[in-house]
Amino acid sequence: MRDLTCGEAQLLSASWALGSIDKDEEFSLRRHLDSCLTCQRAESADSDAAAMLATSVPQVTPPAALKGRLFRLIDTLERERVSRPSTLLPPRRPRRPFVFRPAFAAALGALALVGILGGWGMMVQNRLANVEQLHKELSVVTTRLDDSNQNRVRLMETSARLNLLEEKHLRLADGLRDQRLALYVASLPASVAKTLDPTSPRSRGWGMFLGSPNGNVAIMLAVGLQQLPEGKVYQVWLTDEFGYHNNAGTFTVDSDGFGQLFMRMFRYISYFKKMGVSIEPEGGSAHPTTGFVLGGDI
Amino acid sequence: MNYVDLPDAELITLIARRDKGALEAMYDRYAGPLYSVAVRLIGNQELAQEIIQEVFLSLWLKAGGYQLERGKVSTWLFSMAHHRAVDELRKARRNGQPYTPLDDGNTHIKPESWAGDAEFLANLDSRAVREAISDLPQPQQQVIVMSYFQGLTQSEIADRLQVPLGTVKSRVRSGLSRLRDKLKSQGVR
Repeated sequence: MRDLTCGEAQLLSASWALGSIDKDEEFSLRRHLDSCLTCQRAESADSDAAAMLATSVPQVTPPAALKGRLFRLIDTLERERVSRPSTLLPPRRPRRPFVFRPAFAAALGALALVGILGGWGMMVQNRLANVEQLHKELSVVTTRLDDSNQNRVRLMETSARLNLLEEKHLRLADGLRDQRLALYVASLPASVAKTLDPTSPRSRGWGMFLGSPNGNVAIMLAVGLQQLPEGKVYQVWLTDEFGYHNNAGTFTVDSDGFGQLFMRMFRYISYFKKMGVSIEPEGGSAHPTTGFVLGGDI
Repeated sequence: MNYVDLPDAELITLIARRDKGALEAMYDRYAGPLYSVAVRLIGNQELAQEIIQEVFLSLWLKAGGYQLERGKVSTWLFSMAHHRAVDELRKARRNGQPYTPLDDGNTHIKPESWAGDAEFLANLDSRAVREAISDLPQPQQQVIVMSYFQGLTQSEIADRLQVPLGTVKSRVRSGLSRLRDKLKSQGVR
């Protein structure tokens, strides 16, 4: 696939903002935008103009019941999240001992990346298959319901559960998209991989930073980190040459201790010198409030 | 906390921390305009409600990943609603279902009878945007309306207008740039 020039990208960004870009050109444009701040700014201005078009249509008031339905769905989602955080996860696999030797980090890193991406892909596919199976079963149940009042209530409950499953399906699809993004970052010509090591004897796990110094996107993969209690997240910091810690986003890990974060920074990656991971309250912090659990030069 | 006076950027930060009051304030602020654009595009109020529900559900679930430096929150919301509505419109076309916009008199622009653009422009609520669109050369007006309000791809527009694809791209590009400059000169941001 040919890389776009800035002129070509800015020609297409108007169509992207108006929703008329053809699919085959959309990926090329996204790829260009990921690594070009100038075109990102142009695209942002185009999208603002497109949004103005949206505000110009005749106003129609949504039904009042819509708000109630939305917030009931969110309440259900939140209850589901708190009470059954991993209902649809496959059975936990026995944890294998993991030996990490810094001396072989660079060589092992490349191999590990391939393994992680492959395993991750299979895991996501399996979970997707589980959700689709449940979705099919629920669809069968739904078709058997008749119009009696009692069954109407059951239909509504089933519908809410279907919505939940659909939402989980979307999240898994997001996981697949992240995987594609990781492959995309890995495929950038100047991409480099750096390992992130535990910063103290009490820390565990390790990580990998992958990004192109000439671009502003990167991905961080972490393995073997402990799951955090409710209300806590891992937060990634990119430290510049002045020692300022720049927020790169937050992530959580699954039951296998695996987590990832796709980062889109406001400067080229080469601007940042070090990377660290701290534990912060949900939503993230403006500055690190705890010591780093993982860190390394990038 | 009085959410009503908070700017979007602060509301989305609160939403990322699971503050339902902030989400409610955002809903009250944008549900109407988002619903209006979805109804305008797909002409189906039930489907439009689903789209609005999905947009706010995404906002709730993904607010933590939103990057303020990449653009305005309102632009993000309109973009999500518009893209979803366009997806539905294209799905309906693929399934051979006719495009049935709301029967509100004159909002349906037929590309083959573009003389109806005056009707369309008269129906826009925002005077500034109406003026900006009407100031565009007719070929640029045409491709912008076909792109944004009819959900056609550039290739489809080129087919319908019987013009080269490159011509459509450059008309869209120059039309949107002129529209943006015009709105900017009118102080619309």
